[in-house]
Amino acid sequence: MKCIEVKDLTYSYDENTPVLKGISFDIDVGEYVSIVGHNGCGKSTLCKLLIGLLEKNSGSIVIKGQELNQENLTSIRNKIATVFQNPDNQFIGATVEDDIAFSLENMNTPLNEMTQKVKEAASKVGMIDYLTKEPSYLSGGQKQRVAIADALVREPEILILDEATSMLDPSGKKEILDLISQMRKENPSLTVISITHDIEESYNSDRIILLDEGNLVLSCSPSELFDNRELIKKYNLTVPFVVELKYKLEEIGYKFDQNPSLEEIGEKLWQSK
Amino acid sequence: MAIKINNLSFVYMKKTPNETKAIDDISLEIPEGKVTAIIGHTGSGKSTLIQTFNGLLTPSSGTVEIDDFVITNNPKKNKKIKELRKKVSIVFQFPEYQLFEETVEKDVAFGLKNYGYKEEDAIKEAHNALTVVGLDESFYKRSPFELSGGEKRRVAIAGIIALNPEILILDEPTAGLDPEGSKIILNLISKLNEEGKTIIIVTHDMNIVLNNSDHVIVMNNGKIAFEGTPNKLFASDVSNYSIDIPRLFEFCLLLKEHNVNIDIDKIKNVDDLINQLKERK
Ligand SMILES: Nc1ncnc2c1ncn2[C@@H]1O[C@H](COP(=O)(O)OP(=O)(O)OP(=O)(O)O)[C@@H](O)[C@H]1O
Ligand SMILES: Nc1ncnc2c1ncn2[C@@H]1O[C@H](COP(=O)(O)OP(=O)(O)OP(=O)(O)O)[C@@H](O)[C@H]1O
Ligand SMILES: [Mg+2]
Ligand SMILES: [Mg+2]
Repeated sequence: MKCIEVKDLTYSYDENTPVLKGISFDIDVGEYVSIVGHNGCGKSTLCKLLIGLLEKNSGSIVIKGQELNQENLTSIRNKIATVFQNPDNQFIGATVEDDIAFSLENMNTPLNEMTQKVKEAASKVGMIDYLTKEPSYLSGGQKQRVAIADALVREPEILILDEATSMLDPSGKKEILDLISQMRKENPSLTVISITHDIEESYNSDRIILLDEGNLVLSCSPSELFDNRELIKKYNLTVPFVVELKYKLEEIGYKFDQNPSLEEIGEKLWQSK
Repeated sequence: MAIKINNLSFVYMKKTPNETKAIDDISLEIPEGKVTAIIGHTGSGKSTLIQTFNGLLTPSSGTVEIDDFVITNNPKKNKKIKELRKKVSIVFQFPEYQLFEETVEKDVAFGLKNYGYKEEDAIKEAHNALTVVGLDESFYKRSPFELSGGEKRRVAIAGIIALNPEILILDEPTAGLDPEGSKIILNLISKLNEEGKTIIIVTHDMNIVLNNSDHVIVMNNGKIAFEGTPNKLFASDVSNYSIDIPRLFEFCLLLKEHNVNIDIDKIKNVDDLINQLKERK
């Protein structure tokens, strides 16, 4: 089943400079898609259009069978949780606890259930000891963790992450990515869209969508993309470590199967020593 | 100019229920002319520490010494702070905190004008700095608030580059940058370092630590957990530091384990490894 269907979507902040130039793609229910592309190519703009924060110029956005419009905006937004690129822009509550509870209050969640859920979400992101703190007085990574808790607590059908882990320490990042894959296991119909510059992260998703100056230029599995040197060169992409290593070893004469793991690459090296 | 930190502590919201000791009696020296990486768990005190280096935050106790400047817990005594800030500049973790002018070029030129540059000259320098960070003239007249995340960070970095400080402090300079942008900034950092600048990078990217730094400081809970070279750090037990061993380094360790003869200390990036393997072949 289709979760998101986008067709010929265009958008510009001012008339002279189109930012999205007619983008079409579909995302299946339960899919985990990365959106990548260089700074300013339109990723955050696209995500704001998907939740109706910006109004498209033309084209259509269909979410779970419903075309997004003014009437169903609220009901569609209730299905989607978004972590914005700058967490400061999304804090509402005066304390971490209030902030995480905010969306639940809006959904009329009973108080005791709410307290429980807020605590669960806060501990999942490692912020349980910070419930009484003010979100704007936290460190960068702590802010990102709270922003992620804000989204998780809503138990969305669609989770949109706009560089949500860009300021987390390596183990924090791993914890969050593990948490999301755990959530997808528990709920196979959870659809995840992740905007990221982290190649290793997108390498683990189901599909990569590449935007380039407002156009969708590529939509394929990570292995299809990173197996194709021409594409990598054409779009000047950075590749995951294992792919870089493989390519550079091939250049000095080693031969590998398709998509070897690090161990397999290692084996070739110590066998030939 | 080295930075000498003596028994430094910093407490946020002193005497309130939310009192937080972010820096806990730290003493250390940041070497002159080197690239030092500061890493560690979320909330370990990295951003707080670097903000004491040019007096943006006043120590709760202890001192920071740079050249003949001494920053103490008495703000009235920190007289020459304006002069110090000419020498020590910080790019903040959130570029938004640094942007405020109506156009990008004015924003980058602001600091220079403050230091007495004529408008014209300041704008010219600003254009140069913008070119360096990969922003062309189409950005000059735009509002810095109506940019993408990565574009904002580039503007913030340009604003500091334009000032040409002796000590450059960058708080997660590559967060939000595309891979090409990261490369530009890291190359710039190397170039400035070769010209003699002291550089401090706060980062969560272990590849930057391995590839671009001479010296690394690991913070944990407001204290220093490790200080030394990147290779020494990654060869030691890092399980308590919330950091990661770079994939490349891990792979080299694996090769060593299987008796492949390589010199890990000389490997900072994939090309270094390839070259060693090539020589061996
Ligand atoms: N509020 C705004 N007003 C005008 N132009 C804007 C605004 N926000 C973004 N833009 C421009 O629209 C284009 C797309 O921006 P967007 O934020 O979608 O990029 P992005 O792909 O998310 O980039 P990044 O990786 O840097 O976050 C950029 O050229 C940007 O300068
Ligand atoms: N303005 C502030 N007011 C009160 N407490 C603060 C403030 N800024 C930071 N803190 C607290 O001080 C501690 C250290 O924060 P700091 O920003 O220095 O961490 P950091 O190492 O830079 O973390 P990150 O990697 O997440 O950016 C944290 O516990 C944080 O919650
Ligand atoms: Mg963006
Ligand atoms: Mg910080």
